[in-house]
Amino acid sequence: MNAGSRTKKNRKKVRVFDVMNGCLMVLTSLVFLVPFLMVVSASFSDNTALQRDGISLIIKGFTLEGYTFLFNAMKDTFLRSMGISVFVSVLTATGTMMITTFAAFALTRQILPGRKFFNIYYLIPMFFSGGMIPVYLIVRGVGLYNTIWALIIPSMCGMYYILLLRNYIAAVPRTLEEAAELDGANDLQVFWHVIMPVSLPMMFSVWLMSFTAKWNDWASSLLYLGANNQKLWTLQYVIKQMIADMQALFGSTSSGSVSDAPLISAKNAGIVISVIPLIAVCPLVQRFYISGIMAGSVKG
Amino acid sequence: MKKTGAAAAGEAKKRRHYIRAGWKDVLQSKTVGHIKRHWMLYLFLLPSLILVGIFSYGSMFGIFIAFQEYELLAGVSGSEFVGLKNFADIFNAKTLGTYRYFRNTIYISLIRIGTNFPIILIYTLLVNEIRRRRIKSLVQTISFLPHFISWAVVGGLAYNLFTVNGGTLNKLLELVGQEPVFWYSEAKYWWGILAVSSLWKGMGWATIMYLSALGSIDGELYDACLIDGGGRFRQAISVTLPGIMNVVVLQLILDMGGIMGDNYDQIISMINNSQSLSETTNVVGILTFSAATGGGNLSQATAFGLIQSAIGLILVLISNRVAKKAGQAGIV
Repeated sequence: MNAGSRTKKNRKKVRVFDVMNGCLMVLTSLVFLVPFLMVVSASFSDNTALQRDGISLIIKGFTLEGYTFLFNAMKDTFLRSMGISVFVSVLTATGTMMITTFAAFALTRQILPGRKFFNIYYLIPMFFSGGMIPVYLIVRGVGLYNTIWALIIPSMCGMYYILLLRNYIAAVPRTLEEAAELDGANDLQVFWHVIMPVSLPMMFSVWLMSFTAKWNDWASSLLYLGANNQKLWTLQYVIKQMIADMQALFGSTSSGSVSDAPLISAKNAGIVISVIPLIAVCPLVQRFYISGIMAGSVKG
Repeated sequence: MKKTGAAAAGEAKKRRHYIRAGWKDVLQSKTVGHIKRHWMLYLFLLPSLILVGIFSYGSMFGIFIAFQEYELLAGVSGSEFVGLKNFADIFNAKTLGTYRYFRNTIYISLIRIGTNFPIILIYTLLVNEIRRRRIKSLVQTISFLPHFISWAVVGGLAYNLFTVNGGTLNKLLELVGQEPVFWYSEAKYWWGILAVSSLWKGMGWATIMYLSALGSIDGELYDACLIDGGGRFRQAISVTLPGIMNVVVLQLILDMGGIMGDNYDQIISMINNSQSLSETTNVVGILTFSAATGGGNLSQATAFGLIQSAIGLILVLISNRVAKKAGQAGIV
């Protein structure tokens, strides 16, 4: 009797907790989402209404003016920077994925002479770097400065990705490799037929992560490109300038009247466009990266 | 085990023979055999070796310019060597604002860790309590979103909140009858704003590590707790928390190791070119970044950065040592 009433009380308490926790989760999720929704609403709103009343969750005077403005009046800046960003991010991500997978594969081969040395070689830069200015001077020194390759090549090898992949590959049963070697496979064949097929999920998450990092990188454009090299600006750098001073950016890069341009709608439309690929990436990373680190952590 | 005289002599002879051996014998040794058979592995390593060599190790040699009066056109060889002058300047001259750069760097880190760390932990426990798997996964996906957005875009989202003309925060203040605040000219709010924006962006992603540790807790422990009459709160305190304690401790130690680091990307994006916020938001990273992009004193900035990364390295090594002492895996 006594025990029964206790569980009943507990059950009631539990239900109260579930409801409160549910409310809290809805609330935090809203905190994560609302800033995005506001940008979306502003991008479809009428510019004069935005100037008058500010931004809210409700679309005021639905219009596509912001978007058409970006693709017409600011075509030379915006559309071009989108192309540059896609090129740079895809190339960086693909290069990073290949280079780090190769390195991780070689490092997991017990047979590699000098393996200890190479492990330390890749470990040291994780803890100590020369800093921003020495890297900047190296980029100048090797002749990449002011070219599109300055945005790509220096970020093509992430030590952290090597570590992730190495742990992942180390969890692959040795017997698979040994069986291939007994059949007379050389290292390339072991990589191609044994290691790569099972590492694809982790390779894909490395691709996604380095794609995201590069897509979001605006500082490199400022650091490694000359002040007036507008042709190579990435999308994020253009967005950065749009947020800081849309009027100045529009004035310096396009011809046309500033006074009646829908600058606020266009700015928010730019943000929406720049975020779309990342929203597509997010659930994919959740799926591949998280299952990847789980698998890697079992043995690594 | 003692070796017999004859065997020892034989070995010595062999060794002598080996020393006298020509390159042919070297080529037949075991290591060289391995290298010959597995030369392809070096091809696999080659691209990353070159990239890391140039950009990571090459830049370590670039630290040399911290000891020079470096001029871009003269290059490293043409610039004057001045020894520790740049470092002496940093610690002597008050005009450089040395104190302020380091103070801001450390305070921003401490406030961020102090607020974000416990909130993330509590949030993880609450997410873990969601019963429907589908909803849990949805909540997680939403919470991950900000992690994938650049700081530049976060700066834009924040601008919609903070701007004086029709910014959401000021509209809310107006609703409760308060005066509007000029967020972009009041330096005193910004340590808080930076901490909150870090939390907003990183909270969801930071739960991954804890949640993966939660997955490895033995389910029988929960059953045992239930039989002893423990409710869900009791279970969270007595089973869940101890189960992830090692990850919590490790994370805290790692955070402490990163106190000297600063996020210039975040700060530059958030302050929206406002000069009146420099009192609380000027950090070492911003100094180096603006020296590189705006033609500042490169040697001075490199010296600043070197002090920062040297202290950072020491902190990481200390915290790694502490982690190992505490019985954790450590990071090296």
